[in-house]
Amino acid sequence: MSPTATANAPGAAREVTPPRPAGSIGRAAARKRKTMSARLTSAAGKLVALAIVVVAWHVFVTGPGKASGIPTPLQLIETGADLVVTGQYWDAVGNTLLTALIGFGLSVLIGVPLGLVNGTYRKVEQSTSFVVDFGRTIPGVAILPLVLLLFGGTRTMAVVLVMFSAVWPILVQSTYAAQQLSLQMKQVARAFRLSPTSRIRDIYLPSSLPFLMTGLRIAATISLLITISAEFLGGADGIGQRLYQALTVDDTQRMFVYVFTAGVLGICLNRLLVLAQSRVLWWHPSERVNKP
Amino acid sequence: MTTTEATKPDTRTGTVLEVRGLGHSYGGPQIFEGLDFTVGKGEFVCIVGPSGVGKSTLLQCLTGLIRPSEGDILFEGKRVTEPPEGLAIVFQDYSRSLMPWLSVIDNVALPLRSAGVKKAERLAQARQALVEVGLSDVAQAYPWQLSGGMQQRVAIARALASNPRAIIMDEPFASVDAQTRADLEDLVLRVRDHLGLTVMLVTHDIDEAVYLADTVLALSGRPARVTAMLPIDLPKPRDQLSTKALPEFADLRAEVYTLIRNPATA
Amino acid sequence: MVAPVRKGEQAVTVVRRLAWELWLPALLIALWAIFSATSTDPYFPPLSEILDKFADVWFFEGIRTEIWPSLQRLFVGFALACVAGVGLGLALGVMTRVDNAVRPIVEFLRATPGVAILPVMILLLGLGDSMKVAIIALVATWPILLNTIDGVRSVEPVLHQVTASYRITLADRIRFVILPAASPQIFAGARTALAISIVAMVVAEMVGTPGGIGYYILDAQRGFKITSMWAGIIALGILGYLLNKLFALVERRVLAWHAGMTAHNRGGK
Repeated sequence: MSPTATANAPGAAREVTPPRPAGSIGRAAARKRKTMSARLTSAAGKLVALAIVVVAWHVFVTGPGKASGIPTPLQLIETGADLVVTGQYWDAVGNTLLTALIGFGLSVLIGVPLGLVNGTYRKVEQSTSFVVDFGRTIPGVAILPLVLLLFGGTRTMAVVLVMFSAVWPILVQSTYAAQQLSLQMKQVARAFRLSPTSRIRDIYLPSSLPFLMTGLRIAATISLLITISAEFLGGADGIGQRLYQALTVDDTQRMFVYVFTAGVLGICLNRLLVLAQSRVLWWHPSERVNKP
Repeated sequence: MTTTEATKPDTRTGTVLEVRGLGHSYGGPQIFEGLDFTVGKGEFVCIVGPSGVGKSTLLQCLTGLIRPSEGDILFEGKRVTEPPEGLAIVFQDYSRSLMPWLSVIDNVALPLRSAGVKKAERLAQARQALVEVGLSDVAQAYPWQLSGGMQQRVAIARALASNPRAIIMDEPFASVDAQTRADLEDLVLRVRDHLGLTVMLVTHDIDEAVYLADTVLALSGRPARVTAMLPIDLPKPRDQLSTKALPEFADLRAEVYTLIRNPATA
Repeated sequence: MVAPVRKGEQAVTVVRRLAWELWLPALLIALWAIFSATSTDPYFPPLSEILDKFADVWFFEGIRTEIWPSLQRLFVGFALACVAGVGLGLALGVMTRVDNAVRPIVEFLRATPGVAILPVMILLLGLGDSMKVAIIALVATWPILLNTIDGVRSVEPVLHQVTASYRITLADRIRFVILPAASPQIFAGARTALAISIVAMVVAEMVGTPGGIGYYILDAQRGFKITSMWAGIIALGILGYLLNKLFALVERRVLAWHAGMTAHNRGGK
């Protein structure tokens, strides 16, 4: 439930440089402090903060929070170590990832071409503006009961839900991407008499990439999010479902391991996306800013 | 490298700013060192030097925004450790130094608000400052709706609103066109005469420095030093046409140019 | 809902534009009505029946008993998220060392899907209203927090010199410089947070104690009351749409200066 979408604002997306992931300025500024002592202090600060959190957690859970059944940090690590070696754990993780990936992939396949067409032809964009405007604000989980009826607690159910939610940011950003393809660029392409493939590959695609990447980033985060939600609420196989199971049988130890797993997956996805963005958009001002 | 004390005309009494042995380095190479000079009440001092010589750093020391690595600055007899009361600053980039979410009059009145002045009086003082710079009819507009020259006037009005005794200006007219610059230069002279202010203005434009100043302070070299304090004896009131047509103007201009380019020959 | 009438736009142009913007939605609804009217699929009842049920359920009893409580929880949670997000964001934006130290923890919490935090909230607060409000507030805080930090950090550096040299007090600095400068970023974060809040509200209601529109839809599905379920889904869709429009209205008001400035700058100065 946490897509970092600063780019969803239509106004924001009109800028040439699409916004970077929220929080990246902090990281970039931190990277600037290259001196050894600065890095050590920074690492020390992080360790101190982490230690405080862990201690506070322990104190809370063994004291006032005892009734909740939340495990202590130590218990979490123990249960985690036990669980991580089991096949069923990795089954769950694999299922979640597979579902998210399929849903994401299909959203891209549908959203990118449609969005590009949408942005290229003004009349198309006008025609679809209301539908898109409405569709992107529908909470994906609203149709969960419907897809449950149609598909039961299966992967298909989850994938459909993912697609329903993730296609919108891709569509919207692809539309912006096509729209901001300036007239000048098209003229350059024609002036140099580039072939259609070369035009698309060498000019249109790179200039669309910043917006496409933003859309993909948002959609990827949503995909993971909705996958786990669909599993939790609908019973499709995966982390979400294990989470729900553990909750209902009051196995708080195992439940917490899965909570953490979800968090770790989220972080890994985030890192992957930032890496992908910096690789694909290494030439773009948004990646060059704040680099030491 | 001599630092000559400027002979101050009789109308001015009292030293407003005194700089002793000022030097600064950001932990690396020395930017400037051994700066010694004084500025008298009502005096108009222009600090000139080539680009990159450290004029902005000097200004930041003078205004108390930076603590210099060596030396002292005394404003009205008291050591400057933070921006002193009675001193106002006009920054170079007006488009970035004014708040785009506040109207012109709210921009001008903001420092007064922090000083605890009550609303009615605040607005009255702000309006007065706007009259002084000739902008009384755009009080409700937003800065970005105005031209560059007008925005810089707003910045000047903001400096004037708190009735300072001295103003420091950091290349204030560098970002406007020549015509507007001439108007603004004359505005500053008028305001100075009208309010009896002491003005320090940093510029890289030698013509401007000679035109405006009672004294030109030339900075040059690396690390930068005061290569001379040149009294400007041109007649007053200054006029864009007649003053600049005088042969003395050309001579002074040439002299300042030499002082900046070639520190050895003073 | 459609783009507002622009100044000086001719009546003919307005009509033409409306036509272009409305034909597709109208066609889709018409197709839905036609195909569902004769369908025997139990999961896709005739649109006319759905609309009847819609009017029946929601006006006006349903709005009072289901939608209003949902909205209340949503507003409280969202408001809490705004206060926490902006407050913490201000603090962390200014105190860079603290921000640096807690950054890994913040990143982890932000990356954790809200649905995974939901069980923890249930353990702590049960299944009632406090859990629902808490989960909304919790997941909505992060985009606001991170965007506030970004916004605070990207305040024009010259303004820091200005506020220092004019001896602007800390309170005035926050109120008249830092917050306004960061407000475009903050609003962008708040918009995301709104969408997340709505999702969190629905999920919490589907899992928690009875009440609210999320519960209504799921309950209808479980009880095989298909038209009711559809009525609920449509209502939720409309609700999300209206809330977003409301937000955009507020944003336009508060950020009028920003819109004016960017338009002015883009006009070529």
